[in-house]
Amino acid sequence: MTIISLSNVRKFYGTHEVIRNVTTSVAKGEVLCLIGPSGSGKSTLLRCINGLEDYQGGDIVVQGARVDRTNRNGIRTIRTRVSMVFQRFNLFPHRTALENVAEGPIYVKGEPRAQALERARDLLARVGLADKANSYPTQLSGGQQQRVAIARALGMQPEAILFDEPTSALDPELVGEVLGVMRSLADEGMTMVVVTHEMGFARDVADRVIFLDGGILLEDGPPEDVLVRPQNPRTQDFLRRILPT
Amino acid sequence: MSNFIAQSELYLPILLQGVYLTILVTAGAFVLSTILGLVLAFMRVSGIRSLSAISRVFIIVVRGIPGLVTLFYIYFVFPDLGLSLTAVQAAIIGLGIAYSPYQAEVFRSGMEAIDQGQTEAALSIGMGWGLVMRRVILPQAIKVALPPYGSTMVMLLKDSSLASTITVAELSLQGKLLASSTFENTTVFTLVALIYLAMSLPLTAFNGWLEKRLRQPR
Repeated sequence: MTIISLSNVRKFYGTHEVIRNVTTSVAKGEVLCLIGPSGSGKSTLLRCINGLEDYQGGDIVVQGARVDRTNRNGIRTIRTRVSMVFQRFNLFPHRTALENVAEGPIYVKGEPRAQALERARDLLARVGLADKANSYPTQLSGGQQQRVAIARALGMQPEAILFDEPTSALDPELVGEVLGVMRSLADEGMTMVVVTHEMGFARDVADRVIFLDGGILLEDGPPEDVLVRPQNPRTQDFLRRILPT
Repeated sequence: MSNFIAQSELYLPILLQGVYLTILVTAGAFVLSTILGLVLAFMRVSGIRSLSAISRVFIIVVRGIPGLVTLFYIYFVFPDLGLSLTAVQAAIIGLGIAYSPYQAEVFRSGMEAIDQGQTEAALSIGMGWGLVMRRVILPQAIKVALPPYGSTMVMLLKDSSLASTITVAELSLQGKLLASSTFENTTVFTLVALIYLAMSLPLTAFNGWLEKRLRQPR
């Protein structure tokens, strides 16, 4: 079953085309990794899926609903179904870890407060931060903050989660704990679209890998094909530069 | 010095009559300018082009006119247009309008100081504009806006003396009348200055206390 489908998606900044006719889809339970050099449009493409960016051509459809930023109610509904985890965490600094996770359920979905807080506690435990429920983001390490952000995304009980370079802002020794949580989510069958430079994660966890360059989708296939036997010379070149041999 | 104290005992009660009107005008204008300022700031950041433009023009026009002239306009010109106000009403409305651009800019800069990622995170969990403002932007912006907001409050207290020009017998006008009838300029105006200072100190202290409170752990 397809959760997200993109057909001939195009995006321009002025006259500069940053996404060029991208067509792909994400099935339920699938883990899709987007890789490519910086400036290739992979984060932009991800942000188009939940309408943080607009696009000028083609269609993005989430569970039958077209992503259209001009339809205010429609876009809000889509965002409650597709959560997002950001490179720079973007936790609410004036709220505790627990409140960060419960914010959306209480104020957006209208879930009873007590129930939302209890679920938030469970989610923090699931990302290994049960003891940090009452800490403010500034009191947490980057890795812990990102795990809270993942719990916040899970709090919306989404159909899919978008990850925008979730480990790029972390100190190297903190990357593992975040990838570990993402791995376990993948094992539990969460649908995930991940923009990443972590080739090891893409190889081990992804069901499919997409390689974007200059806004063009150059490869789309299982990780063993895209990462090990890439067809396109630009993919080969990119992987040669990024992978230690 | 003993002369000063003796005279002070005589003059203070008269000056304190003016203090009541000073506080009334300041408080009224402060509330009005805060409300207007918030509306202008929201219009400015609403992302709706026409609202933003109206706000911007209003700010430029009002900020470019001296507060004194705004007061004259409301007190002397509005009656010609069929709207008569008492001097105190005109002072409150005039100063409230004259100060609203500064308030608006204080609020706007507070909101714009909040990282764009905060808005995106709020949108990404399905919040609409109202919730983003209420739950995410404003609670953070208030901490940024509070120090300049406090200064504006003190400036307004002092500028309430402009009301004297449209016959509101607030502190400075009381002082002027008293001085011209007693010729004790030194005593009277020293007292007036000290009373203004005495009123501004609690405001400053309150603002400092509020800032500290808001900055606590969260």
